[in-house]
Amino acid sequence: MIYKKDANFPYPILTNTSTSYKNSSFLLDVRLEENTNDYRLVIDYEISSSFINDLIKSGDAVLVFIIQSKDTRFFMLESDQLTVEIPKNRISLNKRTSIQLHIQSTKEINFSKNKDLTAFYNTFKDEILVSRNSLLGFSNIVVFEGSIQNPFVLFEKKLDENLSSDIKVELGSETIIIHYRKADYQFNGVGSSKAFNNPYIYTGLRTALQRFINEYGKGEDYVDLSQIPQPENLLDFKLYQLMTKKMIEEVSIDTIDEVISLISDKIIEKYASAVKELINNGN
Amino acid sequence: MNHSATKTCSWKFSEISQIEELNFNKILERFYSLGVAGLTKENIQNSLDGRLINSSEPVIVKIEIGTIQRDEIPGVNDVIDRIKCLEGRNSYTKETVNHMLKRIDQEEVRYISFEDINTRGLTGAVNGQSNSKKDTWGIYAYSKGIHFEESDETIEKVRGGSHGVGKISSNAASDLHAMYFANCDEYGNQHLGGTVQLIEHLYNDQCYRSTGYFTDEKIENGKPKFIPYENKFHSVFEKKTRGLKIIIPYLRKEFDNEDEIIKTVCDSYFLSILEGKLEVHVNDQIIKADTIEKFVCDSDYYTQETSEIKKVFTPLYVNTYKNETPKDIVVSNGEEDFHFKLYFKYDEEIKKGRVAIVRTIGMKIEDFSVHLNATKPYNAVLIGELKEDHYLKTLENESHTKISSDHIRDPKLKSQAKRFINNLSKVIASIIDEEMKKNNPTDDVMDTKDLIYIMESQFKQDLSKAYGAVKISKGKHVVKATEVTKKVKQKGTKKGSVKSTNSGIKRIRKTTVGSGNELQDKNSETFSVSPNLVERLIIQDSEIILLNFKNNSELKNSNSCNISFNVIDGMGTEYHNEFNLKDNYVAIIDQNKGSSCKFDNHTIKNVSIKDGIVKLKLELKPIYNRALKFIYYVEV
Amino acid sequence: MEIKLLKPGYKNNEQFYRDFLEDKIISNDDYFSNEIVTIANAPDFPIYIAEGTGEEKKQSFRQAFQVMASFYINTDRDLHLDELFWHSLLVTKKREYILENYPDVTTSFGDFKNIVVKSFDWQNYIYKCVLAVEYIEDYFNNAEEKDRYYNLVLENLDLYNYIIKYSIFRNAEFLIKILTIIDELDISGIMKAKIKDRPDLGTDERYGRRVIFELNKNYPVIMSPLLDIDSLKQEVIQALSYYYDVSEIRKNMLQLEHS
Repeated sequence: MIYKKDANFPYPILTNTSTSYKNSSFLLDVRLEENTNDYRLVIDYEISSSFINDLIKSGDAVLVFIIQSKDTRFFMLESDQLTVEIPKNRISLNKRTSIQLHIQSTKEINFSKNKDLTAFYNTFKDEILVSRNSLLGFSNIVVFEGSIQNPFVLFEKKLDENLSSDIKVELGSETIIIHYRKADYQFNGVGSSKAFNNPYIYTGLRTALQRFINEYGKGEDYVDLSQIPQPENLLDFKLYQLMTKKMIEEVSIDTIDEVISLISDKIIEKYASAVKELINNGN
Repeated sequence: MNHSATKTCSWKFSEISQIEELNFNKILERFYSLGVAGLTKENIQNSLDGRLINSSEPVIVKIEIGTIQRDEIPGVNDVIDRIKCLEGRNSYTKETVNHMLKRIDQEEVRYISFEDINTRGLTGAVNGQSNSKKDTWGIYAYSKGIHFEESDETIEKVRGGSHGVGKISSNAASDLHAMYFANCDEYGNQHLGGTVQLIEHLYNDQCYRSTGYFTDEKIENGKPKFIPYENKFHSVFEKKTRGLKIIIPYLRKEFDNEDEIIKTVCDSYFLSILEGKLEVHVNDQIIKADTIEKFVCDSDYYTQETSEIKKVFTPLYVNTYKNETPKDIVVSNGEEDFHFKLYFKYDEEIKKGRVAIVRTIGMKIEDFSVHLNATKPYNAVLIGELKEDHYLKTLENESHTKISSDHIRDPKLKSQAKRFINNLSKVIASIIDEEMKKNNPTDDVMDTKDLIYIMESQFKQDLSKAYGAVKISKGKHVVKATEVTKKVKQKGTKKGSVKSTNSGIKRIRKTTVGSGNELQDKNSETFSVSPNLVERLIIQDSEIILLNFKNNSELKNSNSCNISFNVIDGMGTEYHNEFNLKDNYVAIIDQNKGSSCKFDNHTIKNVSIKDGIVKLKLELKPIYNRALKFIYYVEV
Repeated sequence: MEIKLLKPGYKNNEQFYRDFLEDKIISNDDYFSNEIVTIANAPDFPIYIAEGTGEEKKQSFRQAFQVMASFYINTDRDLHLDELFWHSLLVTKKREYILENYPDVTTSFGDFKNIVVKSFDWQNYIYKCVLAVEYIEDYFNNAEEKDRYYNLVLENLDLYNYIIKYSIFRNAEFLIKILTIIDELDISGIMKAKIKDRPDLGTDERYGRRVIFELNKNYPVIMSPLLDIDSLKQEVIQALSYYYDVSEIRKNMLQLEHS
C-alpha cells in the first residue's frame, strides 16, 4: 500500500518531507512501456542519504516497489533492478494505479555510522537501532490515471431551456458543467465570447474548490495538499494537479479566491479587457 | 570552361577580351535581402541534403560566429587587390564597390562558418575540375547555379535546394562577396576552395570575369585545369571530419546576429529537430530534440502569450505537433491525390490561424494562411510523404518561403498547382469550420440541449503541463501525475496564505477532537502539531519527544499545555483515543522541570513549555508497540 | 459472446430500473456507449450471497468460485475487475437468471441497486469472489491446495471481508499467508468471535478484525504483507495478545514446532 501521511515515527525515516534527515529526499519517477503481453515499469529513483544508499548496496536494506491499483502488489527489487514487468491481464490501467518505493531493512540496522541525520537524531545516533523488516524510508507517489475521459478539459457547458434558474453550476464526474437557460447567456457571437463567460467560470471554480475543501478538510476549513493522496474523484484530481503545479500547498475557505487567481490564467483580466474592447467598438 | 588565369594569383579569374557586363550578379542582391535567416536556412538545407544515406544519426550543423585576423584568411590580399581596381559604372555598383573598399583595411575580420557532420561532403576533389557528374567537388567549386542530381531518385525527391543557388547566398553574406568551403571526403582528403563575386574588371591591363575561384591549377594535356588546394590553413578553415564547412569572412554587420540565427533554426527546422534528424549548434548553444523547447518556450526568443502571437508561430507549431493527434487529409491537384497528416489545434486564444507546411526533410516552407480564415483561432502543421514532398518542392518559390504557381511556366502544371493550393485551403477551411462549430454552438441549435460542449480551452494547457506524461493505451488516455514533492525546510513563519502556514500549528475546531472529557476547559484551544515540529525517538525502554514551538505566535506565550496522541494507521487515517497512555507508559517525565507529569488514558497534563520547547521522556511498558506512529495535539 | 457496455449514469436512474423489469434495456441504444467487450463464455453464477443458512451460502460461494475460475478469471483485469463490465453483463445477459433467483429486485429500486448494480467494492459479492479466485488460482497449481484455501476463505469470511476492505492487505500473498497461519494455529474460532470485555470497542468487534487493524496501525513501519510466514505469525499473535490471552496459542505453537 501506498503511504503518504507525515507522522512522527519512532526513529528517523527518509522521505521527501522528513526533518530527521538533512536535505532529505527520495524521488521516484516511473516510465511505462509495453509490449504485447506485458507492461514494463521502468524505475528511476534518487535517494539523498548515502547511508541508506550504502545499506541498499550491501543488501542490509531492500527497495520494495509497491504498485496499487485494484489491489496491492509488492516487488522486492534486486540492488540493481530497475524494471518490473507485469502481465497485461493482471494489471488494469483503466483506473488509478499508484506506485511508490519503500526501503525496508533486512537485518537490524545500527545508525551510528549515519552521517545524514539532523542535529537531534545525530546526538543519539549511536543508540538508534532499527529492527529487521522495518521501514527506513518511502518515496513520493507516481500515479497513472486511466479513467479520465478527457484529461485536458475542466469546463463543459450545456444549454437547458427548462432550467429553473438562469445559470446552474454542476460538478460533474470530471468536469465543471455550466448550464445555461438561454443561449444568449453564453454571449455567442459577441466579441470575445469566451471571456464573457469568465465570471461563470469563476463561480464554477469556487463551487468546485468549496467542495474540495469540504471533502478533504476532514471537518477543518483548509486542506494541506501535501498530506492528502491524489484524489480519486477525477474533477478533484484535476484541481489537485492544477494547484500543486502552481506550488499551492494549502487551500482554505479564506484563500479560495487567491487559489483561483493562481490556477486560472487571468480570467478576470481577460473578462475586463473583453468588456472594454466591446465598449470601445460599441459605437 | 575557358580560362587562362594569372599564375601568381591564388584566386583564378577567367580572362575575357572586353568588359560587357557592368553589374554584380543579381542573385546577390536577392539573397542579401533575405538576411541571415536566408543564409542559415540555405546552408542547413544543403547539409540535410548531404546527409549520410542509411544513417540514423542526426545531421549536425555547427554554426560559429567569431573574429579572425585578416592575414589568416587564405589569399585574401589577392581579392583585395582585385577590389581596388573595380570600377563602378553606375550608382548601385559604385556604392557596392565603395562599401567593399571601406572594409578592406580591417585587421580583425568577423566571420561565420557552417560545418556539417554525419554528411557526405563533396566527392572527387582530388580530380579537380573533372567535368564528371560523379565528382561533386568539381561541380560545386567551379560552376554556379547548378546542383548535382542524385543518382538515387528517392533522395532526389526530398532534397531541399531545388534551385541550386545555395552557394551564392554565402557570397551575399560577405562584405567582400567572398566565401570558402572546406571539404573532407570519406577517405579523409581535405581541401579548401572558395568563390568571390565581383564585377568584370581590368587588372594589370587584362580584362577578367566577375567570378573568382580560390583554387590551384595545373596544365594537363596542354590545357590548364583547376585543382583544389589541400587544406593546410588556419583552424577556422579546417574541416577534419567527413562533411563540408562553409566559411564566410567579412560577415556583414546586419548578419552578425546569433539570436536571429537560433530563431531561424527553430522556425524553419523544428520538425527535423524534434524528430531527431537534425541538431544545430550556434556557438555554445545546442538546439536538438530535447532542448529545442527551451528556446521555443523562452520569452527572450519568442512571444509566449498565445493571444499575442501574430507573426512568428513557432511556439504554437511545436505545441501542436507535439500534442495533437494528426488527421489524415487528401488534397487533389485535379490529376492526382496527395495525402498529408494535419496536426490541428483549436484554441480561442489564437489570433491568427496558420498552417506550417513542412517537408519531411524538415524545412518549413510557409506559414500558410487559409483563404478567408487568416484570423480564425487555430494552429496546424501539415506534413506529407515522399510523393507530397516532391510535389511541394515543385511549388516552392526560389527562396523557400512560399508555395505558389507563379514561377511555374508549363501552363498545365501551373493550373494544377493553382488547383492544389485552392484545394488545400478548402480542406483545411472545412476542418476549421467543423472545430468552430464544435466549440461554439450557435444560438439556433437550442434543441441540442443534451449535448455538452467543452469550453474554456485555457485550462487545457495548464492541465497538460500538470501531468507528467500522457500515454495512449488501448485508445484511452493514461495520465501520469507525479506529486510535487516539496521539502519543508524552514520552520519559521512565512507569509503568503496559500503557502502552508509553515508555523506547523493548526487550530482545531472543538468538535473534531475527541468526544472525550479530557479537553474540557472551555477557554482552552487545541492545536494539531505538524510532524515537522516534533522530534521523536525510541531508545531502549524509553521514548523522547521534543516539541518545538519557538516560531509559533499562537503558543509563544504559553507556559504549559496538555498533550494527546493520535495514532496514524497504514492508510494515513488518524484515530483519536486509540492509543491508551496508561497501558503503554510507566511514567512520563517533563525534562524541562525534571519532574513527572500526570496523565490519564489519553492526555498528558500540564506539560511545561520552556523557551518554546516541550521536552518529554517517557518510560515504556513492555507491551508498548514500537511500530506505531503519531500526530500530537496540544491544548493550551 | 459480445457484451455492450453501459453508458455511465445508469446507477441512480429509476427509469433504467423500470426498463430492466420490463426488458426494455437492450433495445434502447441510449443506455449504451459504443464499446463492446467480447468474452468466450459467460455462464450464470450466484451474484448475491447474503441469504440462506451458512451452509447454503458456502454452497453458493463454491459455485461462484468454480464458474469464475473456469470462465471469467483468465480475462484481462481491465474486464474482470471492472464494475461497468459486470453491471453490463448482469443487465444485458443475466436478466432472466436474476429475476428467477433474486425476486427481491422486483420489490424496489433500492433492492435492485443493492443486488444488481451494486458498487464493485469489498461489499460486492462478485468482487469478493473474483479476488479470492484470482488470488488462489494464480497462487496454487494443484486442485487439493486450491480447495483447501477456498474452504479457508469460506471458514473465515468475516476476516476475508476485512482484509480486502483495506487496500494495504488486498494482496494475494498476504491473504494466503494469513489463512495459512489461522489454519496452522487453529484460531479460526477465536478470530471470528466477538470481543466481549471491551465495551469501548463497540458491540460487534471481533478478534480477527482487531488483529488486522493492529497490523494496519503498524504499517508501513512493519510491512506485514511482505513478512515471511514465521515473522507474520509472530506479528499476528502479538496483535491478538492486546485483546486475548495468547499463552495457550504460544504454547501450542512451540509444541507444533518441536513435534
